Amino acid sequence: MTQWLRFWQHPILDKEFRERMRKRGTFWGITIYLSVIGLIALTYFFLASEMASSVVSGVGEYLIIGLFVIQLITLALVVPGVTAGVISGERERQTLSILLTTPLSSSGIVIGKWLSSLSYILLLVISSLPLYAIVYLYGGISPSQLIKGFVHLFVSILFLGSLGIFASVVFKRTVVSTVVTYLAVAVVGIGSVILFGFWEVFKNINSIKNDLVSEILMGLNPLISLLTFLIDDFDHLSIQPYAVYVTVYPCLTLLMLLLSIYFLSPLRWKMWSWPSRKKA
Amino acid sequence: MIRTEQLTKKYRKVEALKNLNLSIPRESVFGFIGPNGAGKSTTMLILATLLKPTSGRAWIDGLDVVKQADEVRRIIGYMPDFFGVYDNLTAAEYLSFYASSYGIPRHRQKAIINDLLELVNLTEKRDLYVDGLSRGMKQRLGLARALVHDPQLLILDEPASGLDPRARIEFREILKELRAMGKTVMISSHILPELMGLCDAIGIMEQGELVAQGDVEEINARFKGNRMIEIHVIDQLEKVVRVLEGEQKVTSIQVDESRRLLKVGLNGDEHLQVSLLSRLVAEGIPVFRFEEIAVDLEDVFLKLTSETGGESN
Repeated sequence: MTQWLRFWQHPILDKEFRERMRKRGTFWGITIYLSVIGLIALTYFFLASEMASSVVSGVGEYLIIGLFVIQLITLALVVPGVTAGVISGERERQTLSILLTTPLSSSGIVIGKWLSSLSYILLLVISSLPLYAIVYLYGGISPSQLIKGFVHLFVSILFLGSLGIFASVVFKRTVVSTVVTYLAVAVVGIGSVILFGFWEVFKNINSIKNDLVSEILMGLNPLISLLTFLIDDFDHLSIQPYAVYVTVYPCLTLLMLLLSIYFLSPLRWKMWSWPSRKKA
Repeated sequence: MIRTEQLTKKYRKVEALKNLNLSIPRESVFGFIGPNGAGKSTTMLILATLLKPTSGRAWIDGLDVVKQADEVRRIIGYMPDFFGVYDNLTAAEYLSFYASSYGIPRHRQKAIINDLLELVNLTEKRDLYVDGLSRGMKQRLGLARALVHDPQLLILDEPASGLDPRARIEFREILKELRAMGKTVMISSHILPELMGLCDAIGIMEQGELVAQGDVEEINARFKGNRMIEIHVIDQLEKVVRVLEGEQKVTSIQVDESRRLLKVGLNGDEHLQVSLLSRLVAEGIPVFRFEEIAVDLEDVFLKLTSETGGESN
């Protein structure tokens, strides 16, 4: 317990929390986020209820799918904006060199910055929970699906955050880092669909019957992998795209963080030096 | 305290630092002088563990700055030439953040922060946001930050740049206090008077090379033979120049025609001055002032850097 408390007293986390909660933009950010997501979600609820009442009774399922999709897209737009400037911002403010001369390790700086940014994003997600409560009243969704949905969102946030941090370490200017992060998000979101389309065409031309690659590609797309466990039509798949997603993206997150730590270290060549060179 | 051996840093084809051999004793104030781009900041970045040298080695208190970077960071306080602050923190919180970064427990931080704020005359500003401090105050806060873990060595890269005269004087006074406290200080500047009277020793850098190193007095003495004479005449300026050009020990002649003034570099002692004045008078030149002007650190620096520049060209 003491260690847990000590972890949250990490200087970077402490400073970042303090700074973030003092910025006016933080509160405006929450307000705008909730207003936008609430407006879209409530409009969608209204339209879905109107349309579904005359066609099917399981309106709750549509509503929850819609809400998760809206939240995922919104987070894909918000998280890069929050994380892509955390290290480059320090560089631009000319505070990074000082930070790197303290005993704080590169890993401490990267993880601290990543966690503090994610804490803000989690605050956004938690503050949107009442919307899920409204939808849950409609029924049509199991608690396990709801939990899976949040795990999916959580994995997405971790990955998007690490992507932003990585770009922020590699690119010196926040503008460049932010643009590159959004491009990477677009590649992940749209690129995997294009790749899936190409594979399907290739598969049909060559009469390949194996669906494994298709299923993996479906699992790499955040939106498709989200839909596959919320919609029952995908139960026949041999590999669940959801499982692919929650396995692959945490690994990518780890990779991004390790690369960020490596590139942030001013004396990083040491990591690649051979043991014989170290002795010399 | 600091020792470098053949320290070299290359940025692709540009050699920013060439085989630097430096030795700075403990509890001394070392002034690092040189024009912009001379290699001062590069040296300081390497010593501050922020830059890997291309070749050569450097030690601080016997610790290798590359291989033992973590240990080195605990004994140095580094202040870069330009640095930012966290605007949303108060002065006390700013120092507390760095104190925590150095692992100083919270119960000890209050006393340390109070002492540091008192040292840099910012006690009254402790609860003000850093954003609201003047440039001079931010610079002093930066110095307090560099001292938060009581380092043995302070590396200050152009700490007075951008400060107004009053802030410079205040900063200088604090540095004198630090010297009295027994800290080893390495301070760079391209403004020489800033370091005069403050440093025990100086090193002069030019185009990545250390062109001179030693006590301030010692370096001055080395160039004492190079005297500078001001000669004021009523007229016959051209004749004076002709006479001076014929003298072997005259090293330089600068002519200010409008004021009928000559600045003459002489490589010799008082006897040479006497014979030169006698010669001018014998030639019938109306000399109404003949005076040796002091060769200060600035002249030494100019002399050294122009020599190096001349060689490289």
